[in-house]
Amino acid sequence: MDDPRAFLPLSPQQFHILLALTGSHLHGYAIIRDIEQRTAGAVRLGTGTLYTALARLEALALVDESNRRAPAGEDDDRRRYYRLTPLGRAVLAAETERLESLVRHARARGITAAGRPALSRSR
Amino acid sequence: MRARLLATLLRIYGAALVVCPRPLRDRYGAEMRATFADRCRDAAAHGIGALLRAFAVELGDLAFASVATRRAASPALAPVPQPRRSVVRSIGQDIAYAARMLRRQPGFTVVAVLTLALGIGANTAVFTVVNGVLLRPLPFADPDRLVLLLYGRPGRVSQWLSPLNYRDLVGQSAAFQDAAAYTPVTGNLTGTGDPERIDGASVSWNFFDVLGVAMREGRGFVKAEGSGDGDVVVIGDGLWRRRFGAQTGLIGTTIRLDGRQRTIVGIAPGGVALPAKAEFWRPLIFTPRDLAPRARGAQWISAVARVEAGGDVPRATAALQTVAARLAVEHETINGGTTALAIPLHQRMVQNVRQTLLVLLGAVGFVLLIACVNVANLLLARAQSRTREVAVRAALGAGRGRLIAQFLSEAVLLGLLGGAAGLAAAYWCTRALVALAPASIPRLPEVAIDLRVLAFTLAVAVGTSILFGLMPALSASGGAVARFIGTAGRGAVGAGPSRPRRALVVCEMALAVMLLVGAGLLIRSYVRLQQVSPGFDPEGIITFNLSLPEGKYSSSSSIAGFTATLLARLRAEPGVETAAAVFGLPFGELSASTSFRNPAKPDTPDGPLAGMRIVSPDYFKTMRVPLVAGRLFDERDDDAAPEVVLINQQTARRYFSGENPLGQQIRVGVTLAREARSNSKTIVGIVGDVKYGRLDADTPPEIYLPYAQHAVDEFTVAMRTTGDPMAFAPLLRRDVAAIDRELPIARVEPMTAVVGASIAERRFTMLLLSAFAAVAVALAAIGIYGVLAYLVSQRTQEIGVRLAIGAAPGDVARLFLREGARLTGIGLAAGFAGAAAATRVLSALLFGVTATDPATFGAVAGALALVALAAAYFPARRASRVDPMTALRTD
Repeated sequence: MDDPRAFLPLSPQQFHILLALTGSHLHGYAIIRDIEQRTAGAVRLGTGTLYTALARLEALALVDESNRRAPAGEDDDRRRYYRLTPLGRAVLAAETERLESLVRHARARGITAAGRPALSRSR
Repeated sequence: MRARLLATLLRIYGAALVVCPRPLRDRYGAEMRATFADRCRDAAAHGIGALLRAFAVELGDLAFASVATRRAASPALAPVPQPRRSVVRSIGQDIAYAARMLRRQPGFTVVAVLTLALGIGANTAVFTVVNGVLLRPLPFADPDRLVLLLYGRPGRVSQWLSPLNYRDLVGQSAAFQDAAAYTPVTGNLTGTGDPERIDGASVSWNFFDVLGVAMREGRGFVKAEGSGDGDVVVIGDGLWRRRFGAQTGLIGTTIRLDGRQRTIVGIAPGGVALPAKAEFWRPLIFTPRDLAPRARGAQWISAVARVEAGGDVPRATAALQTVAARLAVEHETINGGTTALAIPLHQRMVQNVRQTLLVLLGAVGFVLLIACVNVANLLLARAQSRTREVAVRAALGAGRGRLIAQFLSEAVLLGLLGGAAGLAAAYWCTRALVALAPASIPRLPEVAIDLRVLAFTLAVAVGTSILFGLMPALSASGGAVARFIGTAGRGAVGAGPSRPRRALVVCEMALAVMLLVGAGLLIRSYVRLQQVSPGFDPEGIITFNLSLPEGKYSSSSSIAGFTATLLARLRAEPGVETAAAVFGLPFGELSASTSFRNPAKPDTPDGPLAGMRIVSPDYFKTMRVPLVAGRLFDERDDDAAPEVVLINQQTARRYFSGENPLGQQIRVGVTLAREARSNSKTIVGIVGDVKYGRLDADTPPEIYLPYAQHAVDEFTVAMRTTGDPMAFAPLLRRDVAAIDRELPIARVEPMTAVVGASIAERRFTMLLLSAFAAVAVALAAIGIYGVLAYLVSQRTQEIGVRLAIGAAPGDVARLFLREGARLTGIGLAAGFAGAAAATRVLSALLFGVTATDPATFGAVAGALALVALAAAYFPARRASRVDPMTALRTD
């Protein structure tokens, strides 16, 4: 398997898509909905953005097509379901680690979510 | 309704997918559509607004994602070559910067986008109709090779042929691969639901093969059905949906048409409108009588042909002319002096509306130009307020090209936003247009937003944004530094920066003048046309059409008996003054013309021709057509009485000049009734001229025959009533049903509507052009107001000085009013020059006025001057109220 770190950094959209696929095999619109619900509406991918990102993830073999199909009649057969590949899971973990380390560095300098250095507040 | 909107949005999105890189589209296109549909359905649950918002967001996302993918060096997609990268990046920067600028000034952005959306939306809507009617190929295989045959004397050709001439013309010229004859018929559909009269056609068995129509279901006709007893039928898409709920498995079942069971063998796809409005097709079978040598003059079929592969229309025409010339010699008495030619099918279908649609497209283009000018004005004003920013950027090393690129990207971004909003507007406008358009415009049900419309909108949006963006870009980049250093906006007096804006306003006025003149001319034509007397009094008359099925009414006596019973019943109803049967109602659907001759004189090919009307005795009283000489028909002119005929004044003038037509004998060449006597007929009276097909044409010669002697099975009933004629509709339905319950009634209309329909197309053109002109004038007024208000604000200091040294406020106001008047004057002059040149294209649409009608031009000048004065008044008043102290103190 390729070194997961070779794929870093991921774009935020790619990250969210991989995240959405950790739990289950989803089709396109379900991915959009999952991200939207998870971020309470803050991240809402458009169809075009989703599929360009998916195309890239698929080309990089981080994601592939699942053979799952929803029950007949309930579903549109144009839909395909996607799942995380083992490589994708590894890349997601590596990216999370990278982000964590970034955040650690920032925290160490007193940067908090409020966007202001903690130092200035203590002064 | 919402489902249809959803379907349209889906179609638009599907078409918009072309912006995606090919590999992406191939792999994910279907899914993307499905996902888009999901999102729209979810959004639609929150209302139309949410749906449209989601649609706009999705389109924008698609555009951005595609641009991003094309730029990204993905293994799946071709990378952008390195050297171009910096250009791409700088364009990207420009766009991002432009987007920030637009977001920072929401007021400006909204006004500009709405103005553009108005222009682009109206253009897209009109173009959608033009596209559907004029540009989209007919839904037939290789439609460019399909032609209609025209036949007649040179200059008077029509699409009507006799079966014998059709057979000879097609059979003897080698120019055609195949040909089919057709003739419009109507049918009474009974059995399932209410009886209904539907339009259809009798067609040669190979009709659908000639057209190259792929059936939606089933098949076209086969050869045996072109000679057998022919109880088969192909139904149209419209009928299939309306009457059968688009159900499958209809093939092989029967419908009851004109009292006969016919087996459905095929369902035609939508758009097969040949002849126009046809909803069913049945085999055309010529009887021996149709093919008898003396029937060569009975022209009642049309012919569509497919030109030989590799051939073309001129060559087909040449071949037809050769054959026609031979036939003219061989059958001199009937065919003498006639010729034949081929005309592309599509051209023939749209030839009547082509000019109208192109005029509208031109006019709506003017509206867009004016909208562009207004946005350019807005941009100019902003460019001038950004002199400082531009100067700084130039000083920091931004080249002129780079500055122009940046202004242009703002303009293009505005244009695209306007285009997106315009597309949404166009969707509604198109539906309104289609709903309002008169039925005489062919192919309207086929009108839809397609890829070509999207491309047009995109081209218009980008093209116009370059148009309105370029001038501010040039003026802002050129000399911005000099201006900044030189004057620094300090009491800037003089024409310098405002000259382009003045020029724009003059353009705007000129365009508005041209539109207003065009609209004015059409309005005057319409008014003139409405004043034309049709020769009868349409008020208070209700009409309806009946068609008696052949199976049930096989003899003349049964037809005449039905009609007499019906008329007697109707006349006995309270409120009905008179009732009459007529074949060939003015402005109606049924008409026929015939040659006639004096039996004492030899038959000649260029003998007299006249329209033929068959009427019951009360017809003239019902329509209030005056008797000029002799007598009208009465009850004594029945089947057993000597044959009689009436003529109109035009016939008397043209064919009996200098003699008394009364008492003369004529023979008519055509018989319409199934059993009719064709002996010599005596002219017993002359009646007043009546307009038939059109109000704007001269009355043709006409011959009237008594219904009792020529009982036709298809006719119109006209009733003169007291009060609102349409109130009698239930009553006449009841009376018809009381005699024959299976007989459908078609086109129950007041006579005023029948006449009105003949000018509906003019009315449509006039209303649309007036609406465009109104928008143009409003935009022009806003333009004048904007420029003067800008001048006032620029010259506040100067005004302060003038007032301080003793100028009266009135003088100051006059200064600006004069400026407004000057702009208006120049605009009017330029506009009139343009109008005089441009209205020539209108001349075919005018009636009773010339293209340079002085009254119209005068009225336009007056109206525009008033509007301009009002627009100038407010800035002028503001100028006169400037407080000198405040003005002098600033800066």
